[in-house]
Amino acid sequence: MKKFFKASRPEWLLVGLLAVLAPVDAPAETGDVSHKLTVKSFIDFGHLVSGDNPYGPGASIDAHPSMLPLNRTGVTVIQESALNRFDVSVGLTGLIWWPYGGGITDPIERVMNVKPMIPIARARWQFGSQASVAGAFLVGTFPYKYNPDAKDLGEYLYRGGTYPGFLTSTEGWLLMNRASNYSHGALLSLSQMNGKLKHNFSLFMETQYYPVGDFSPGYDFSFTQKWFEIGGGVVLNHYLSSRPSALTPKAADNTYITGHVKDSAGTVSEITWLSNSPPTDTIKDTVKIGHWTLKGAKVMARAALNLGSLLPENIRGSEDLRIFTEVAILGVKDYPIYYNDRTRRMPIMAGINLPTAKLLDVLSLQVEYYKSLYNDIQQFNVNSLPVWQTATTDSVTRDDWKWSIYAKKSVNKLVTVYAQAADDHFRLTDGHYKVSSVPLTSSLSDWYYLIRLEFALR
Amino acid sequence: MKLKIDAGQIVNGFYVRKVEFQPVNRNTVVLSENAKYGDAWEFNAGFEGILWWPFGASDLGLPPEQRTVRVEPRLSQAKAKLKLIPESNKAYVELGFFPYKYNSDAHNLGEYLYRSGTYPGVIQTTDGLHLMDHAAYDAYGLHAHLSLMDGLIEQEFNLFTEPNLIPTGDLTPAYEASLSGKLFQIGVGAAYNRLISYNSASVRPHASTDENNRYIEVDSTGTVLYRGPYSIAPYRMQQFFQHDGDSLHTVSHHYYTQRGLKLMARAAVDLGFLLPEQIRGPQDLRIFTEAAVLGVEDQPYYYDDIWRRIPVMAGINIPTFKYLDILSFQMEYYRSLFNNDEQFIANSYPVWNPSAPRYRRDDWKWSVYTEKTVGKLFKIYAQVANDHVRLPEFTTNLSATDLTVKPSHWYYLIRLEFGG
Repeated sequence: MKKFFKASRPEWLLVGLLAVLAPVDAPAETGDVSHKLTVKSFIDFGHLVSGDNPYGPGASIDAHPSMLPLNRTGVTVIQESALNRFDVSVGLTGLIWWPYGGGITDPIERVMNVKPMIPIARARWQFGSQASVAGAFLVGTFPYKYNPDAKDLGEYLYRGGTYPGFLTSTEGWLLMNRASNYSHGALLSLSQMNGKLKHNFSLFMETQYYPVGDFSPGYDFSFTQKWFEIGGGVVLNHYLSSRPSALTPKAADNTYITGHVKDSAGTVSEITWLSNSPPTDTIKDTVKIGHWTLKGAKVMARAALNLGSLLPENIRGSEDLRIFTEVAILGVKDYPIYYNDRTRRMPIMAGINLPTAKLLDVLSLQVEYYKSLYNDIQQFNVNSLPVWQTATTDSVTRDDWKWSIYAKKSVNKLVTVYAQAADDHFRLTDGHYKVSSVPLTSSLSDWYYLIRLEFALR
Repeated sequence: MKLKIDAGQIVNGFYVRKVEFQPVNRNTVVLSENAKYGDAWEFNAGFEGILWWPFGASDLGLPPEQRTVRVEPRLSQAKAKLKLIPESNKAYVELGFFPYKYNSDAHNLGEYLYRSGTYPGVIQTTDGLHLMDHAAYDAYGLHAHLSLMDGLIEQEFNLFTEPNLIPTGDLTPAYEASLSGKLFQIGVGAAYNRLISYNSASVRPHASTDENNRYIEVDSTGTVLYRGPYSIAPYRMQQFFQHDGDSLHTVSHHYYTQRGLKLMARAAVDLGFLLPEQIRGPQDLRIFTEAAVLGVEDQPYYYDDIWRRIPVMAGINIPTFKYLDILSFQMEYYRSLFNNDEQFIANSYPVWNPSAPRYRRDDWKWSVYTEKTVGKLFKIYAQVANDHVRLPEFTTNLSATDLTVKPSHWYYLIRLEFGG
């Protein structure tokens, strides 16, 4: 029984939270339920102008995709119902997309697909008052975003991996406006000081990578003033696991050995090596056999300067002249070989919203520096091991710098236009749900562009 | 509009390997609309999106397509209803796709007449995507209802098509009748599985390649030496078949059929009146039972004992002083020796998997189910059970056996349902 409650802690936490919160502001029987239906559609057009796929050439995979079409079309229907301070929002999306199999491949890797998606499926209770403490409790599936300045790069706390610390700008289906986390779980948001200080407590479930079903508690905060905003946060990845022993796989590729070796000169030293790649020197003894773990803590800090007030009001857009930055540590604790240098697990993003004299809603320029020596998550992607793949690419430094330009223009009530050009962590999905193990934009000369027309039909 | 968030775990189970604390999660979005035309016509249509994860998702080394979250599009219903007596539900016909339920007491176990197989007598309590509160049959066809004597006698005439197994499209006619008094209810029903088939040969697969659906009978001077599946027959018997018998032995071969008659009977007694009104829920103290025969006719080996084709369910709604809408406890006894329907799923052969172990410890099942309406837009459900739960793998095929097979196996589920 003890084992049962330990393994099912997240579910009981959720039920307990609901049991406490729901009656506090349970929907009153009085009042009418209001409904709102939103229907949107979008069309994406673009190209991967120049890309890099280290898994080619071979098996018909194109090593250097060039002018690869990037097209998507989607229709989203969202129904919202509200009763007093309780509301429910559910949505369905049909997405036309093309798998990326890497080149001339089987039909399943290239023909047009229609994918059903659920963009949102959540319930929300709002409580309190802005004058003191206001808040909301959300449960379900919903996009969660803590950094409004991260239009493409950034949002590391939930989007970044831990071990390994991979980054994504897209999951491969939807290609733009994805700088948020598709979260499944619960979120408690509290705001104080008239909304200036905000706290977010999250309990999100792992939905894609092994072990699916684990929960990762998180916390982030932000403090906003007229001229600046600061924020920080922490996520404890896989800390609430239904099978803790599964977080440290014992596979040979996930094993390292620390021991003493003697070189040809007779010098004895202590080193660590991969279990399936022993040293050429004579092994004297083994001190420790260890395995990497999927469990780890991520921390984040961000800041923004709001200099828009320096511009005349008649030419000032609401987001103009914001200068912002975000930094994270993807796995605080060091481990041998892959994770022995914390500075190589720290992506840093900086950017500015350039003024456009109200010609555009926003024109955002971002850069990122992430000096990870590795960028291939094939072992993690396919075998669920918390290690980088080094067989294909190793000591990658040409991808340390990333950039992104993002623009948005609301033409009228119905039409919004977006554009993005970037060399970021661009990945596509094949016909078997597998996202690219290596970003397809891996060097400074790689880049893509996308243009989106979005229509609000209702 | 509805949103259903399911969270739970298979706490202890078995499928090929031990299953322990296997997360089971679903998010279901339902968007539906109803319309009326005049006094007689009603139309209902609904679209569902179900967020789900393939079973086996927690296993190390599974490729992405076997563990990544999916969205399954479904229809919740699409039907037209014609009231034969305008503005009354005494007589009507409905046509289309709709969840069909005849036993309101079967919150999890039960509802055998349509949900269960015939040959083989597979019992399912979930289709793998709808994990709870879906003890109904997703019917595709026609249903006619006739109520007599002010609802005392109700009759149902059904003509449902086979949606999934080869040959798809076969029609199963069925009839039910129920007698409902103030304190009791009894009902009976019969469904003739695949009585009307567009491809009768496929109902009884009998090509030379359909070896796994073949059974042989070897006789020697009037004594039956063997009568059973060819695939597991002793070598000597197989040799007799290969050589068409000899001077002392005659051999005949036949094939199993999916076609068969299912029968059902149910009863309920409503003892709620014994409770004071102020603490009595509308369904409290109902005691109910249901039994069925999954295939009346015997067939060799798998179906040679009709008592092993009779599941029996019994249950009671326990009073909760109006704290819960319902608290239902059910048990089931089904002494089928088999549980693995891999041949049925993969090839639509009407046989159990002959090489799978015989299941003796799974005869008893139990289920505890509860609901609680919290507000206009919010309801909570919970279920704990050892039942016939099966989960879909990444191919969307359901697991070939129940995941809870021993008495120590069980799972729990909690559902938050929003909307109205």
